[in-house]
Amino acid sequence: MSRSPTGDSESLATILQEPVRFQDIIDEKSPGGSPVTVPLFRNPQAMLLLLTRAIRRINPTAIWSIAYSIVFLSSAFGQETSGGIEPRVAQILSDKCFNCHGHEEPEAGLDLKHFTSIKAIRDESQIWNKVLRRVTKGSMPPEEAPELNDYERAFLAKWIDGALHDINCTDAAFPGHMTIRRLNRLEYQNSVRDLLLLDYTPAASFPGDDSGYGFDNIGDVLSLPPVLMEKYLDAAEKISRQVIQAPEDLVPAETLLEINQWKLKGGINTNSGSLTFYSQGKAAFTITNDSADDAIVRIKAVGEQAGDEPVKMSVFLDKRKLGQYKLKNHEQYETVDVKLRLPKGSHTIRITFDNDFYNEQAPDKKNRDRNLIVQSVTLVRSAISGVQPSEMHKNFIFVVPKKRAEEEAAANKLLSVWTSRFFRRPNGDNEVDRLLKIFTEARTGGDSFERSMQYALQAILISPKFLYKVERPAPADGTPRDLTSFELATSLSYFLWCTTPDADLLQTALKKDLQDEAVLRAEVKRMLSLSKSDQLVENFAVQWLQLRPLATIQPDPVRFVGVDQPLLSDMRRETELFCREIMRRDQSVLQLLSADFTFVNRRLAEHYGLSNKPKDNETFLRVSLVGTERGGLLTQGSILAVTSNPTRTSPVKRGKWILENLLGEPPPPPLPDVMPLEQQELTGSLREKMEQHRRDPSCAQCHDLMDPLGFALENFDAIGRWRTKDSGIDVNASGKLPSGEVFTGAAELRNVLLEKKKDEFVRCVTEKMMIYALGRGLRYEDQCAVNEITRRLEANDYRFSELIFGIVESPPFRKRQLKLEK
Amino acid sequence: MIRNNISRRTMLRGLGAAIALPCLEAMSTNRLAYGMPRVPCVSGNVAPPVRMAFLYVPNGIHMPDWTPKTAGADYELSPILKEFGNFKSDFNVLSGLTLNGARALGDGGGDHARSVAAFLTGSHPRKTDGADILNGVSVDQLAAEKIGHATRLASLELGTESSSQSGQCDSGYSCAYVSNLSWRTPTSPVAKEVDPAMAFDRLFSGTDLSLAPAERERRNRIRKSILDHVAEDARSLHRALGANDQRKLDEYLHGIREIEQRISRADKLSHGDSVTKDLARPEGVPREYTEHVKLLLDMLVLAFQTDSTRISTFMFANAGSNRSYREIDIAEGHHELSHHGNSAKKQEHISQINRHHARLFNYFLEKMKSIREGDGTLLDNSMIVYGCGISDGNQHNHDDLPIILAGRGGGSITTGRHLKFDNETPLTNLYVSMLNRMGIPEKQFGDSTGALANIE
Repeated sequence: MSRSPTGDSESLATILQEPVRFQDIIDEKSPGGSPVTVPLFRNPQAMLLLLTRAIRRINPTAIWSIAYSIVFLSSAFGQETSGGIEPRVAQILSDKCFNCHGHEEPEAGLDLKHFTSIKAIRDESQIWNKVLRRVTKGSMPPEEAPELNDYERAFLAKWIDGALHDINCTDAAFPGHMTIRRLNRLEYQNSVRDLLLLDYTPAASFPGDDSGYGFDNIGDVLSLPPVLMEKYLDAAEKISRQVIQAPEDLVPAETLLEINQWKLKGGINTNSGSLTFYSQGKAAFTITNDSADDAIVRIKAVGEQAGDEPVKMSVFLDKRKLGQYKLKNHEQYETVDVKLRLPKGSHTIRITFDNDFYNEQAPDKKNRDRNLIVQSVTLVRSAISGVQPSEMHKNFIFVVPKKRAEEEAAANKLLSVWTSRFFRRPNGDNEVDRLLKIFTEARTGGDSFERSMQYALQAILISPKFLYKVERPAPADGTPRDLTSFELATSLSYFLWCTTPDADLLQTALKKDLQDEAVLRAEVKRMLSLSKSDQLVENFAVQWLQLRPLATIQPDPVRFVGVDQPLLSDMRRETELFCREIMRRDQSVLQLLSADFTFVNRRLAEHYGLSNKPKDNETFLRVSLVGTERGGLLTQGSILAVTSNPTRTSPVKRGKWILENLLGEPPPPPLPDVMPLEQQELTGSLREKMEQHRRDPSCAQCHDLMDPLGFALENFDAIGRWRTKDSGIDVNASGKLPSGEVFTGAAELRNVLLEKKKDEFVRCVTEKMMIYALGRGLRYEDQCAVNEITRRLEANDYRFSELIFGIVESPPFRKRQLKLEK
Repeated sequence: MIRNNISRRTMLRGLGAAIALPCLEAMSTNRLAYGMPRVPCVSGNVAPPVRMAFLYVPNGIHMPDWTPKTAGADYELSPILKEFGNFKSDFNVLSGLTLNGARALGDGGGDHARSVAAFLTGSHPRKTDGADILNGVSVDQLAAEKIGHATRLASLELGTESSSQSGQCDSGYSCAYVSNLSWRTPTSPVAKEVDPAMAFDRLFSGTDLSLAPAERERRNRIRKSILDHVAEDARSLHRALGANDQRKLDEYLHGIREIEQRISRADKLSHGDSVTKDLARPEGVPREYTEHVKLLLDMLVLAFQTDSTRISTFMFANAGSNRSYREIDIAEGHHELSHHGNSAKKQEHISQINRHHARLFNYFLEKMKSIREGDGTLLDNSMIVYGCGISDGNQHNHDDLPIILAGRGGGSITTGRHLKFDNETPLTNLYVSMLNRMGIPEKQFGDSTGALANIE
């Protein structure tokens, strides 16, 4: 099991000493980062027991025995090979296929009737693969035969697919392939923040990341359109300039030496806002200089000419004459730049008019009087001195070359550290040398050392090695391989922290083998204890529960007075904090449904009508919900609001939401061609209209399930407030599921879910988090891992940490397998 | 809101004043450089280029208020068309076109996702939540690939809603299908810009005209070195990967190439110094939808006017958008309404939303027509498709689509008519006709059966 990291590990070891100087401050500084203890191995005996148990999970007969749940892969999976054909499938086959393929002399010689078990189907997988293709493509049944509607077709196809491709978890691990994936917007922003200690918000202007499977970190879905490439480049330029201060970026500091502050001696007045030397005279200005500096005294002046020589002006620093200047112009101001070295301390700049001339007799009136008019004097100091390098700059340019000859070595050192940190692994061959070329090109072309380093940093920031999570491909023959320690570190980091690995994690990856379970567990434990892991729950929860639309939904302001974006944001915050609490205290994931507490600020407490109100809107407090109508996720405003229409609640949407996100049984889409009720307008209350809708049997098969779930929440309006009446009519929050359970209101629904649908819920949460952790959709084979994790959860009081450990220790997370092209 | 109003107007004033490049001399040389025919302008210069844009509205249209009762030139404007009726002589109403790829074809629900994914590709997108996204190349991107090298931006994609607002998009279809009209390859959608300020920057950034030419050149050279460097990074990774992963890195390499081309074409804007100098950069995304749309449409006009690109797409909203239009007192969500169940009130509300969009289209046409170019207007030299891949939102049907073709395509289209095509005529036939007018001699596109008859 020993895995040595690629590259020169010795040199990386030294290099990794370095980053600590500019890294990992986040962890120490992070606000509110009270470490949490995550209990480990709560029950080792149970673990052992689990491992020795039969690994395959026999799908328990669904309590609700709802046929369509087969549409979801969990049900098709785990069929015993000795199992029979799902009754509903048998029904479809018998109704729609046996006419031609179910008697003595069947069409095409294919008699489907004699297949009575999954084993029989699997034994003739070639035939059934063909059946599957025909059904999927729609070429079977043929036109003249009984029609298969879309729903039946999908149902049948899924079931056959599941029956054919069921796999045996005892044989081998099926880690699956991970498509190379780029960092999404949040991961990019967090990585930049942690690597550069820079909060780079412009990432918010990156185009939105498309989602798949409910999450926006899916490698197959994340694309890189040209507009994003442009933004990466733009961001790289801006970031490099914010982090590294180059003299080219600094605007020279200009100080105007105000005319009325000059001390005048001799024939000078300032009546017109200028220093007007009408006769020989001196003007002096005293400045205090903090540090020695190269500077320019910039004088804008004009000479009123007379006599036979031009106006002469001298400039002094203290006693030293810097020069005498001739002003030849008569009409236009000219600028005289006097360069000087300005020492530290108090100094006086003096301007004198040297050659006054006056001849009353001159025939030309304009030629009688010679004067000097100084309109303005500005002190221009080179910007770099005077400006202290920022902390960020010092952290980042931690080797400062003292002379030109030292620059290349410094650049080399800096780049070695940067690349290993940005690319999350030891440097590859030539990597630094190639970057050094960019530095050298810029430097020899006349850019400053700092500017040249900016360019090299830009190349790192837009390199695919930074923008993508790069993994070495798995063997071509399809054998799974373990991730290297560094690849695993990166996967862990983006899963648990939504950001780049910190120095400790990279050190661990370098010195130890992260594939070693003890090492892995210890590291995960450490990572969960840091506040960065809040990203996991918050980012995961918001996407899992589909709360992002909270930012854009617009409840009707007439019906729902005072509902604004801050309130909707509060709702989202409530759910985030609630999920975080369960993670931090390592509570049971079932608490997500059952908890009798939540988090509110004052505004939200008032919105909910809670008596326990925090003092203001900035503070969210944990409050008890005992004795209220609320509890768990289901009654949180966030969820109630996103599942509503702008003007009213939608029991259908709420029911669908529960099926999809809590039970992992998404209902199939409505049949587009079956909408007979559209011909007549529905009448009555919402419930009555929906009941009319359900009379159509093809609608009923899903609505009978969705609607009662949604109706149980009818006591909560479209913005999550408690109500007993809707438009003057008493709310009827009762529901009955096809399987017979009767309930009224959210609390009873909650109990039904906890008592009868616990396994489905736990499996659903596990699957959703697997998708998020892996950055891909799940396949049949992943059910082996899902089964193992749910088993571990059950044996460990459903503790949240067990879910995390289960995922990171599973083959899909730790191994890769080449995707065999179909 | 007021601030945005002002900034927009300021900018538009800038537009009117600064842009008087009737035949865009800058372009004439470029055309020669790319071996394109030099077409004499009536005024003695060069014929202005032909542009094309596709403006997409979501959730279908209330068709009884859309389709004119009679065909031909003397048709009477329907209530929705009246909203841009001032330009009756500048557009054609095309009825009877069909988008077959948006139909279920055995894939069940998801008409909204399909209607966007298929709208410009004519393909039938593969139903997937992500693992194996597959659509077709869209008509705008095909054109961009063929003639995009003539302008600084090959194409410009705009819209009011970014992707990823919701995890689940439409009945088992990845959000990529719902939010992207433009597809560069069957697997690579082209994301759109939603921020008018960012769109402005895309049009005019990277051309720091305050720098001395020599300095600018040197800076571009280093930038090019950086791009070469990372392209080499990508190629070295590319070699080790499987086909699917390689496609991902192809997107990266394509992005790099686009930027390199833009840098090398940056000098083309220098002729337009006076143009950019006077333009005010929009201040970001306005809260008001109407204002947001107008600003983005301004950017589109600006892009065409400065010949920064000749190809653009614009989404009034993503497919299945459920936004409510409070600015016209519609509190219900658009998608929710579109399933009107034949409720007269709901249909009226849908019609109002349709008219609202139509008024914004009117704004766009006004702008396009106000810009003189050669002996005509910018609108004359363009082909603007306005419409939807669903006709009735309740039935989700994809035939007899609501489609407008505005502009004369540089004089090759006779406008002012309601053209009724046989039902099931592929929408993609229109695209073949348009591509040909862009100088791209494709005979076939998507499921087309030929060029669209009778639009000359």
